[in-house]
Amino acid sequence: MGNGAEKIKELKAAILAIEWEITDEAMDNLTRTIEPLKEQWVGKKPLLVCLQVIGTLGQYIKKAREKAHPDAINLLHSVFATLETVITDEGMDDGRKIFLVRGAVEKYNNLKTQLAKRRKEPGRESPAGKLGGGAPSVAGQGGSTIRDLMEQKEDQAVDGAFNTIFQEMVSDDRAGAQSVPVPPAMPSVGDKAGPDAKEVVLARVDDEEFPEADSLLDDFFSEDGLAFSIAEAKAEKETHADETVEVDLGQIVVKKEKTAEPERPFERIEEEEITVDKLARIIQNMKYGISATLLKQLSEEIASLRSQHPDHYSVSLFMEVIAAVGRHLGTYGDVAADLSRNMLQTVYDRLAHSLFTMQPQKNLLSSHLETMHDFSKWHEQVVAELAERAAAGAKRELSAEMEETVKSIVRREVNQLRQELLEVIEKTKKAEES
Amino acid sequence: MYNVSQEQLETIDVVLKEDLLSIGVHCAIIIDVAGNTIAHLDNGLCSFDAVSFAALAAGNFAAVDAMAKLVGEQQFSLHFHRGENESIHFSKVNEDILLICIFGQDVSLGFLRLKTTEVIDKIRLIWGR
Amino acid sequence: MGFINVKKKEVQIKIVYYGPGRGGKTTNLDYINKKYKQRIKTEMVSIKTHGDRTLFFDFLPVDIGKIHGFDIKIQLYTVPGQVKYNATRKLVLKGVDGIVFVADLQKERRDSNLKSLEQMKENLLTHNKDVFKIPLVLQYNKIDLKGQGIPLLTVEEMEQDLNQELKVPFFVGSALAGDNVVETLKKIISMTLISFRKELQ
Repeated sequence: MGNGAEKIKELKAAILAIEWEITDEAMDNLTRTIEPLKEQWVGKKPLLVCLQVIGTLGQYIKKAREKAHPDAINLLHSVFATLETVITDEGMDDGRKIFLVRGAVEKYNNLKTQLAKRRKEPGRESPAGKLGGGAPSVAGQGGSTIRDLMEQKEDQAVDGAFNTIFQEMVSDDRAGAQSVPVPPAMPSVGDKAGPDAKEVVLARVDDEEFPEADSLLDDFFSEDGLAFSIAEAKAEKETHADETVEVDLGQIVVKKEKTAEPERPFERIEEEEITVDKLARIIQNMKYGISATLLKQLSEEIASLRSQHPDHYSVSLFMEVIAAVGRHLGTYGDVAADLSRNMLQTVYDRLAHSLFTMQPQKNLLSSHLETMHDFSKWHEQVVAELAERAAAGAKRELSAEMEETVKSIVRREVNQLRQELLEVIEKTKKAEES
Repeated sequence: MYNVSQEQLETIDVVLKEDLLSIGVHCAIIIDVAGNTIAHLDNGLCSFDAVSFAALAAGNFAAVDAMAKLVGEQQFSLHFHRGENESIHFSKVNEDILLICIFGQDVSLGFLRLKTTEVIDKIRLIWGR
Repeated sequence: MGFINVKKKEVQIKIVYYGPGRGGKTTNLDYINKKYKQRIKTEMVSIKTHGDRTLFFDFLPVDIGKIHGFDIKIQLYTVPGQVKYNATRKLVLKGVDGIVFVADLQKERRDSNLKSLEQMKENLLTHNKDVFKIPLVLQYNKIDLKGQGIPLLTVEEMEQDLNQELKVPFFVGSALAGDNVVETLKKIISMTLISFRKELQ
């Protein structure tokens, strides 16, 4: 076969150009480089099959553009890789070559089946959709295509077979693409975008006070619990300077001191650092739809957080409520689903906020009480909805479980409140005495 | 200062999810040229510091923009960095905002570029001019 | 430009430390980062040259808490102070909401202070911002050098040089020792939030 790589050099360049950018020009260029190879390879069936697949996919991608199935592009590259192997590996026997090409065609047929399925999906119906009665017959047709390609003597027949398939693929996807240019929710929102998006030029206001802002700043920058002196700052500055003098030009220095050094505890807080990023992500993802996997992740994450921080009082109530809502979604995902998702987010926000402010005691109590209040409301709603539409048996079962959870939370919360109250009374007494 | 409605942000999230995450993009971020994050969606497997990433990305884009002007170009509207496992694709949505995609080897750059063009059109529509 | 994310209920605010080279901008951020490292959950990012000079910017995000239900996320940036990096300074100023101008009290740096402030006004203009309108605080840095035989400018001289027309709040401080570093930052955030106030209500 001589220097095989040399022969497909241009084809390879065309494929690489597509990898960089899909334009009409790049796709036409691909078609152009295929033609001379077809003439050169007359009679070499495996090679011609690869060329046909590449050509057909190329035209499909050109026409379907961004509506193309993502696998079509990947397949195009993978078929070219097969062709390259078949051509450049001079020691390969014909049987092996045919085997490899057959694999490529197999993938092509799979893609075709997927496209057929795609067109059967609701909302994607199009006149071409009624062709041939669905996936099995199309797959069958694909099978005969392989035989045609491998065995038929006339190159014309090869072209014909692929063109038919190609027409089906393209006409269909184009039809789909034109009828659904943007997701359904979009156009109306686009119209509303104008008035909602506002741009304001910030101006300095000299004679105005913003007490909320100032108290927030005082809180955040307060000296409370900062075991930090100027001497230390200097010392740290010096060591830091030593460390970074040798930094290369343009290197990004991400200072890791925070993690390297043990956290200095705040006064009144005996609880360890707790990371809820993963929990945040899970709850965030639930907004897009609740799946068994997500619910499993949720319960696992809660379990793991609980086992890692068994004594973390400030978060345990939130955890409990999140777990309860999660359990409910796991059992009756369709009952009060939106409410439950919002509930998860609200409780998570409170949880994150209590961790974030670093002064949990300040607002924790009210946050806990609000959570309890929300939880009872949520619980009532769930029970009411269940009563409306679920079977009586299921209702009783759920209610029992729910009531148990509510009771245990209330019990603990009341105990905690009592204890805090006692402490406050104790302190007041002492203060009065002295 | 500007303000985007919740509805706009939610629609942007839907677009990012349906058009980019669906083809295998690991993470899609929309930032403004000042380095603020406007939208951030990932496949749940990305765990980098997105805030710093946005600041650096905005700085990077601004720097390349300034380079473009030096050589007499209006702008380089596309930047692309290829890594062994992760690649980054930056594109300009409008004067205010940028779209950044982080993706692996299973996504074809050519196809991603088609998709981002489509996504940018949609986001412009949502954002309003 | 500050950014309000209605969905996540958060406000992102960009504050830039500006000033002549070796004036203490990065040191201001370093001090904040060290002092509040337990409260600042993210890490400081610096793009530096050999010898610890800022090449592009330093970046420190600080989440200070909620106002009217909005999470307030402050992003602190420094610009590179060296004269040759003006293009970069312009880039960092893009979308700025509030500025701390860190001036150097040393007598020999008088000229650099003036030039830097003048250039800042021009750079702001390229972003259509007016130095007389944007929230701005001055910091007269390096008071810790007092009594060490290094000639310093007086506060009156500094005011005369830099603040005569601007008439913005100023602090005499030491970024190295931390004197008035926090006060400066609190003031600029507070001023910036006041200008945001209407948006938050």
